[in-house]
Amino acid sequence: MKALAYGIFFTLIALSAVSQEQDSVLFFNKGNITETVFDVEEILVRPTCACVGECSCAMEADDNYSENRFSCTDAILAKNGRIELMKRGNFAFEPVMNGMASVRLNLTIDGMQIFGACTDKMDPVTSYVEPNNMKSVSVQHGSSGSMFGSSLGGSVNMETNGATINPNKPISGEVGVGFQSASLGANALFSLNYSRERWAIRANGVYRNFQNYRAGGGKEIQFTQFEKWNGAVSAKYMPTDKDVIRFDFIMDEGYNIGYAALPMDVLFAKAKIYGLTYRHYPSQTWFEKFEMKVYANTVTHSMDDTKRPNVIMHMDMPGWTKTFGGYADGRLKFEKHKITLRLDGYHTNARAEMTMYPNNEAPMFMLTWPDVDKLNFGLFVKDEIKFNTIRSLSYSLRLDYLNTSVIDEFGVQQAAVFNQDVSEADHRMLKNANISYMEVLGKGFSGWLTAGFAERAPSTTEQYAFYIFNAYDGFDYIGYQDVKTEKAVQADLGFQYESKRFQARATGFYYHIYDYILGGIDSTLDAMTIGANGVKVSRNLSWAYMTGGNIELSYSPLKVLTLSNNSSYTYGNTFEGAPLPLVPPFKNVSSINWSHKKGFVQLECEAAANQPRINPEFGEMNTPAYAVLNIRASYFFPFGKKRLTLNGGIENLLDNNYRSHLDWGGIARTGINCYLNVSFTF
Amino acid sequence: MKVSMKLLVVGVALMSAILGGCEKKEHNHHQNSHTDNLVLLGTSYTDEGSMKISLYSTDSLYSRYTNLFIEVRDSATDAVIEDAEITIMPMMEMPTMMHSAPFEDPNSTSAVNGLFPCAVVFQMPGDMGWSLTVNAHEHVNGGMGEVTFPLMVKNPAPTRTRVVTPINDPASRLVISYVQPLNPKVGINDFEITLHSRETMLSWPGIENYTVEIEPEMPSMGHGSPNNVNPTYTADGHYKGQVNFTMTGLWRINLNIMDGSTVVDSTAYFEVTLQ
Repeated sequence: MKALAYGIFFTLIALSAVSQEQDSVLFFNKGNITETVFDVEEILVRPTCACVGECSCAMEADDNYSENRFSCTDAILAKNGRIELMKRGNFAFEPVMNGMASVRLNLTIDGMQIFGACTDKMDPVTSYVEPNNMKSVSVQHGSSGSMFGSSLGGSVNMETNGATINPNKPISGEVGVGFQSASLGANALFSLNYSRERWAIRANGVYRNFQNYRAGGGKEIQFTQFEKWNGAVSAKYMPTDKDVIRFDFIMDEGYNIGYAALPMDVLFAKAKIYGLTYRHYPSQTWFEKFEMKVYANTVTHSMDDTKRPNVIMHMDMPGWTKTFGGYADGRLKFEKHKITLRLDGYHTNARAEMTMYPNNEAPMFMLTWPDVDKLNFGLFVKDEIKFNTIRSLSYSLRLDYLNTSVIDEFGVQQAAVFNQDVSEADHRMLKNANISYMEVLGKGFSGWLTAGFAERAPSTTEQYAFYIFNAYDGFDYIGYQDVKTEKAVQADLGFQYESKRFQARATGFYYHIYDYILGGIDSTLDAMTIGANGVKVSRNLSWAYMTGGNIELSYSPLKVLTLSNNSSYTYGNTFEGAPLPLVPPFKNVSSINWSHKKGFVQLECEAAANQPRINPEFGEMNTPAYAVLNIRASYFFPFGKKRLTLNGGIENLLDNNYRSHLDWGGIARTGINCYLNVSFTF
Repeated sequence: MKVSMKLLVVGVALMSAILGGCEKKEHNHHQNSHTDNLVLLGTSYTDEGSMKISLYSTDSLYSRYTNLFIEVRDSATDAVIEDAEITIMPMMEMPTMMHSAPFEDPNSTSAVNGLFPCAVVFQMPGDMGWSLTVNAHEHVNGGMGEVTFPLMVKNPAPTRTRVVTPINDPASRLVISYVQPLNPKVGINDFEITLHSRETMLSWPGIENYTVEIEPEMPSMGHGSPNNVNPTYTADGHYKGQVNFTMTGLWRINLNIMDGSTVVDSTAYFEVTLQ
């Protein structure tokens, strides 16, 4: 009865169980690549946990840790050398990895599929997990990320904190506030974990309120304000030492979000995310772990033009997605083999409407996403073979069956106007395969090589968009249901060297993409949006390629001093030799970090070369080179085991007026910005 | 035995009465059903030939292409006559002149569901002055006669018929009338218009083999729609094609009417509102 009463709460801990994610943490931090998956990179938003499995860790203050919790998730992601951010306002930037935007990536939260409800991608999935609810982000490139779904560019899975069962510390948590000058922004956050012997519950929340920011030179950038809150509750219950039940709920609401680069803002964006997980650690040595999850989420999004001047005609553009799904996966171990099996499925519905209100006339209504149902089943198998302490190999396969159909007859009729019959469902099989080999080449020196084949289904927009306006190139987009599945042959190569004082890591990739999906101008069609340049219809380019790489260097001449440098470059071309649109230019981030037991000071220089390789058909502009200087510092005051942390800094110290190549609308980024965050952890 | 025999007789009689009653009822119902959704514009006895003629339409009359339905009954028995030769003649009498209108006689001597369908293009509205003369020669009893119905024709909103002066023949008149879609929807719609010319005041024949181009647009947005099919001549001045609407709201279908390569008129348009 007691168990039942607590049954809605949950948790964890089989100390003996070694989870995959933790392995990869070890790999990245300690260079112990023989331990595991070399194709997983972890961006740590938490300090490394000393224990493995789901044990609780003391929250040691990492250099950037406290500051991270005040940042936005996308900013943390961007610390990965191969991730860039596409900016349309000052909120929820869209991640771009290996030169590919979210349409070619697989973005998940705790393995849950979530689809943005905005036809203009104003609501990337990364905005729903706040840093103080994020345990780790696992970034996998290309087809090696196919555990979470089929994608070309790779996958980004954000793992939420979840409640921590730690009877030794029944109550723990943090409260904090932060301010920043450029946009008169305020952040407030809290987290609270309550634990008993067999269950724990955690709640956390963030509130952010930002005004328009000032760009370098002091100019206020209109329509960059936003207000949001995010709350999450997680509960764990451990009926036995080998069983964990976990429930998660995340609610995220944004209001009055300005999108300077778009003709409209966001009135509200709301998401509700539910997940229920059961995890079992069997007694058998060959059966490491079994996990089952069911989840559901809804996203509602509404655009707003009422605050804009010179609106020719008011319009409403609401959008909705509803998704539910589940997966079951097991991890087996036979001698040298570590096998992961996963069966997953989801159903999602996307609908977006557009209604325009001319004066004294009937409203003009259309379905920009015609109520599209997608049903997907996937099977994933991965085998990691550790031959010896020197060599290991892993290969994975994923097979997806995807059924897509338009369920609103209105949408079927609309598409008929473009000579498209979308009354029948679209079926696709998606195949992903990956093989990776790694070898220790010498003391502290290792290398890996990955080859893969990836396929991705076209997005709802690419298949069914109905006059979706793209503010970047100024074209209305029309989908094409029969657009071919995009395929890629991929290779990733990496080397890593690590000694006591010096760390280096170099990676390179080449993705040869067949049937690259890109809107092509159809000059026979009239644009719908007033002032638009024309209409583009989804089509397949015969082939295109993306290549690039990054080099990370870190040197510590003194124990307290670290110099690091991270540079990355991506190059993309169509088969005709034209540059692919929205490819980031060469970028370099250097920093000097002086750390002390109770704090650190960091001087950082972020610079990007100009990007002359532009695709004029996509409306791209040449983006000039830039460099900005940031200075950051942190210090904490201990109060027993509790501590008060102050961190602050000045970003864009020289108040440069600059923009990144991926930013929409040629809008300058934030100018000089002073920030100060205060947090108390207990 | 006798009793049961009597009962049987009574029973059979009752049964047949009930069944007969039912049948009759159904028959009556069937007789009325074909005019259930129609508006009765008038009923009158013919001057000769012992017929009672009723004139129906789908709605009250507007200046537009109008489907009319004529019912002919035997004035003595009230039985519906389904075999007759019907001709019609619309007429507009004004103080200084009179003119007819484009029209289509029933195309068969057999009624469809008891009615003879025909059509008139009322090219102008009029509270008075309009009339329709129906001439009938029924083939059941051989009666012949005619009747004239005075009609009231209102101005529709939006405009559904336009009388324009052809660029290439200023002395004549071209009557362009909208036939369908009557319930336009987002998607592909059958589009149909009629073209008639004024030969004389009393003769407004359908025009054959003009070239008609259509271009739908949303006036408040300035855009059109793709893949429309220009109407082509079918019969009796009718031209059929397809018009596509990509969204609800007010659409204007612009017309360009040509005789071969000579432009006859490029000013006419029809507006439709999709709710």
